[in-house]
Amino acid sequence: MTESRTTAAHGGAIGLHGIKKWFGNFQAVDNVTLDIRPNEFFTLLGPSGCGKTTLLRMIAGFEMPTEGQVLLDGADISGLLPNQRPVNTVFQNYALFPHLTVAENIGFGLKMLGRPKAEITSVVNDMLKLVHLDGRGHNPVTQLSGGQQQRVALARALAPRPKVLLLDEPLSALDLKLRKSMQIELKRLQLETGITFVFVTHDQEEALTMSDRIAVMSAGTVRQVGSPWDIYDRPAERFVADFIGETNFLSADVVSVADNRARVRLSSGAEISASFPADVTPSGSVTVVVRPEHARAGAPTDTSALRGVVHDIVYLGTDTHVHVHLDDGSAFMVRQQNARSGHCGFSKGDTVGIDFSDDVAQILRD
Amino acid sequence: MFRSRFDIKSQPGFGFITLFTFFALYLPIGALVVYSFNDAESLSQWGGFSGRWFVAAWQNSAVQDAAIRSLIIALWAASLATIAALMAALATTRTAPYRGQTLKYAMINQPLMVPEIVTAVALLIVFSRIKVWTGYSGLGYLVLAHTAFCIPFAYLPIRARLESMDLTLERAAADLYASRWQTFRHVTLPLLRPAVIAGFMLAFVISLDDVVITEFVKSGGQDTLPTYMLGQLRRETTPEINAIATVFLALSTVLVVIFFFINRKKQ
Repeated sequence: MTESRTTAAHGGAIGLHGIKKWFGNFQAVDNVTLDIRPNEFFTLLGPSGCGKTTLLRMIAGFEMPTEGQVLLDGADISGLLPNQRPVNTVFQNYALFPHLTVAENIGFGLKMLGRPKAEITSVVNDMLKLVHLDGRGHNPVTQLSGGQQQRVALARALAPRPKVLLLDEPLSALDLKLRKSMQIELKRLQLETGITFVFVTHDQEEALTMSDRIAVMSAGTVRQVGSPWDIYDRPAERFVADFIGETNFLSADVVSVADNRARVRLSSGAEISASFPADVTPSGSVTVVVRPEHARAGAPTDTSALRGVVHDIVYLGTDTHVHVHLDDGSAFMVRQQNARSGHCGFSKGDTVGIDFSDDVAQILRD
Repeated sequence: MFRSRFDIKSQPGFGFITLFTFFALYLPIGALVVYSFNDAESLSQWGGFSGRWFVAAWQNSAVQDAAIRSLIIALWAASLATIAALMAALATTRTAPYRGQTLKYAMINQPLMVPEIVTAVALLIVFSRIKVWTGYSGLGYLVLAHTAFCIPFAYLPIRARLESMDLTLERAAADLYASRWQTFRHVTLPLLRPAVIAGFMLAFVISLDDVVITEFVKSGGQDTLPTYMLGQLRRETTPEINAIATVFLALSTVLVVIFFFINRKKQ
């Protein structure tokens, strides 16, 4: 058992089945069922207090579910203590042992498992190389910078070769530039080690950049699970569409449904084609979302999907945001990539027409 | 150097109060140390410089006995009290808050609040019964009594340290396959070491210093250094007790300095 859990060459699969967690009268997790695949970079994304960290702690064994089961490769591990689970955690504040050196921190897990000294030394050296800290093994961890401490925390959690690595908002304490390079670094480590990563964050960009799949959470429940593309371009409901990126919400009426596309009539009277979540059949009045970068503003024509008046123009360097008041009174935003000329071609008060291609609109679940 | 008008050092009377406090605290101790080098027989009459009372105290077998007994009791009592205090501190900081927790704190710190003389009389009564039943009349009673009143002194610094310690460190150890004992041995205890040493030293000094409880609990021929000195006051007094007190002072100063440097090296 000990042998197999630390020499496993591939990541483990995590199953969360009907998980509920109560803290006194507060329900932190409400009936979550998720299957995390082997070797996957899986992200739990949501605002603070949505239950994502509680879920992670239940996989690690720091919290016990009030109801439901945690499975690892199909076996129920709900009753095991943290030290009995072949799962390691990278903590938000790193939680490095301040009285130990870099090498002693990294070797801690293997030492506790009773591995021979020679093996520990060689693994620690490999780990130091993996996280680009060669030659820093004898430094006290208290003398390292935030980014270096972060990498020691990673190496320490990877050294015993866990089946699953849990990461609890590990990048939140780093500055923007370091965070970007650590995102790439984490993805590289995940591919090189083949370990399943379960990553917790409230940062949607982090989630989109690194994940194979994302579970968006809110108020203790999972709202949607899918690839970054699914989550961003095919949000199933208002919370997901709103939480990830910027979105325009339009009210519309369903005209017809054929296969997996629907024809909907917008308030302007124009009809467009829209996709919808697989588990619903849209009818009646619905909400449609269109991402700002998928819309184009131009001179109004008879075929424009929407018409409105330019209300504000915000220059953002790479892009310009054009805020439009639609004829039905609602707001709409168009994001245009900036050309060399530096002018978007509109002024405040201009009347514009807005168009988008057929495959960008998505109908939300009620 | 620029000094603000609101700096406490520019308040009227600051210098005077400082000097007064220093004299009030250290003048008696200074006098004690100076008179321990008095060549005369008297406690208050200066008769020239000499170290003869140190020699006399050193060669006095009653002082030797009492000193060794004091050290034995203090070592045992401080060790036992530190172990008990460590366990109590872990039990009161590593659990979720529960009903009756404040009561538990109060019970652990009870020796700080109950007048010493009450404890002394109570122990005298209980121990004299036990002596009759068991026939044992060794140092065990003193060790037990000292352990009891030393516990809060060892407990307070350890608990303070535990409360400020990051709980995720112990979580991280458990996550890295450490059993509860390994977590304690490899993470909690090393991080607690300065507080444990501080608690032990406090307990050691408190035990070494005790008069009231020792006076009541001791059997015949079980004088500790403080009770021996108290006994001497009833007879003719010589600067010998000054010399003993000066050695005490030197020892405790050395302890504090050692502790200071141990702590500084850690940081």
